[in-house]
Amino acid sequence: MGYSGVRGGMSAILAAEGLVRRARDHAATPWASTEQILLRFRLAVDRIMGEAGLYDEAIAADAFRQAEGDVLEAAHLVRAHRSTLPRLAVSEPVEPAEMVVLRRIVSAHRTPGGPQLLGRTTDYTGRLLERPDGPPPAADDAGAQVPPERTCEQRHPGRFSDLLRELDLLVEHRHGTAADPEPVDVAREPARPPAPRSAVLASMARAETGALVGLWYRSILGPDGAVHEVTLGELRHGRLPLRVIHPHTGNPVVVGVFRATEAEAIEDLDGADEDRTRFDIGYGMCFGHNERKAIAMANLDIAHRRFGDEGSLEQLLLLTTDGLDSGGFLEHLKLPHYVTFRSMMDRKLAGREARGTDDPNPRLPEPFGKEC
Amino acid sequence: MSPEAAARRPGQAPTLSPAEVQLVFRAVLEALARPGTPRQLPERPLAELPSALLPVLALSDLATPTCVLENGDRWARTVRTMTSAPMTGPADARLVAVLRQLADGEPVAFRTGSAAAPQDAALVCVRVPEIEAEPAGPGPVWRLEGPGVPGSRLLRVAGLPDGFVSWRDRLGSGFPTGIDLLFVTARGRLAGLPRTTRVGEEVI
Repeated sequence: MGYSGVRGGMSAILAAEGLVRRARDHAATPWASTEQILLRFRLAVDRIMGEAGLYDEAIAADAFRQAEGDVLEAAHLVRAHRSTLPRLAVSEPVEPAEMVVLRRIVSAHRTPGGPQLLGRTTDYTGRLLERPDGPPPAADDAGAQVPPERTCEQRHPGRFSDLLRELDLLVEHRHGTAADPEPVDVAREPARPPAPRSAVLASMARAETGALVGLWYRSILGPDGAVHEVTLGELRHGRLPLRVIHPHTGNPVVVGVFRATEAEAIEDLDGADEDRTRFDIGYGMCFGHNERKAIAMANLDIAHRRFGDEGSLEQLLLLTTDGLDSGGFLEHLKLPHYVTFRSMMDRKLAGREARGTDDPNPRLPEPFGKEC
Repeated sequence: MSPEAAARRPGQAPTLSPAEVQLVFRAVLEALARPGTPRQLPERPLAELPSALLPVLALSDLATPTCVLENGDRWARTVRTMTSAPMTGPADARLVAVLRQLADGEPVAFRTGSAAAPQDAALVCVRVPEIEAEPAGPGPVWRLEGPGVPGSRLLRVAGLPDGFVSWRDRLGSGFPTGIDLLFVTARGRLAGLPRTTRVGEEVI
């Protein structure tokens, strides 16, 4: 890579930054407070936390404001901030069964054990644009039913996959504690193929949502030749406790609660060397409320388990879905590449000069793209 | 009692605020970038914490093996409690605070990293009674040369055992392996001596 050092132009750079700050921070409209962003742009905040790999709603909201609503840029800001924080503890493993569900649907079965709890969703609402200039009048809400208080049991429903397991319809992957290695921390060691499943799952949990959905759609449409049935088993959004070991007592203590989305995808096994009398399950989980990401992740998890060592899926998952990786490389194209391009021009001109001579087969420049 | 000390619960160990951590980080960065030019650590924590512990407390977390050479284990426990850093012997630590007098010939084996990972070497913070940049008075002095030093610079560090310079030279003989040193006085004056700096011993 060759960049000319960024010299000169400093006053232009400062002025450009000043334009951003003035237009953003002094727009002739009330200040968008952190609380305002948290309550009205919840899904953007959740997406930023997931892609940044840091669960802190207020920080994600502030990044959203600083990035003028650019979610990927906000995730970049939060990940940069995260890298300055000391690592004070490693949490105890989270038990997903402890989730207090705010939403839980099983689209594969009418009575999956426990309630279908729609929670807060517009899944069944027509996409009609509303353009109010303020909150709707309170009278609209007066006739609405107040939902009954949910019981603890309803907030901790059983798992649909457990039902399938009881019916002996699932391939068993649990082989005791011996096959439970320490997970890979993708924030410390970049995962490269071949990677253990924990690295693939962690990479997907932090991936850019759009990139993951795009890759998922590609795997479904099948240009890679691995067409598979897609059934969503279970989808949950809820609160989970975070525990760390207390430095003095050595006992686990709850230090906070975070929201997460969890998905289980059911796969109809049909391969020649697969158990066709059973299903397999793919798993997805990410910070906050981001159903698209969790579902794509669960589907890709099972696709990776089935076809990961055949084609390019693992490589694509690990190397192309990170928003900071891909977005950062794209953004850097805007930095001065004067020297790189100058050398390309020189090679072209040298090639033309060589062609002008009597040499019938002149040495032409190398094609571009080998090193940058 | 300082407001920070008053705000702590009984039994809670003293530590650095996030703002103080950043000030310590900046001072360490500047000290290592310009070897032999003393910097000042933030003053508030010096009333409660040994000055040479501040860089270790600011930089360590659960991924940095850390060692505190002291009489007893009071400050090692503080570092472990406040940062979750794994406490190790001096030979395995990435961050070392030397809070007691080094005996003659004591400089022990510290981690020097490897050619592939020189960043794994130790950063050693040594408490010293006095440091003096460009000293005027007669006595032994170090002449520093290398990156971050335009020409050369004189530095006098008191209270080190004999043979300290040749010991350091031996550790750094396989450059880029070697150790980086910080000298800290009780009042929080801080001078850096990274492994890239060449030290010549003179008497003026």
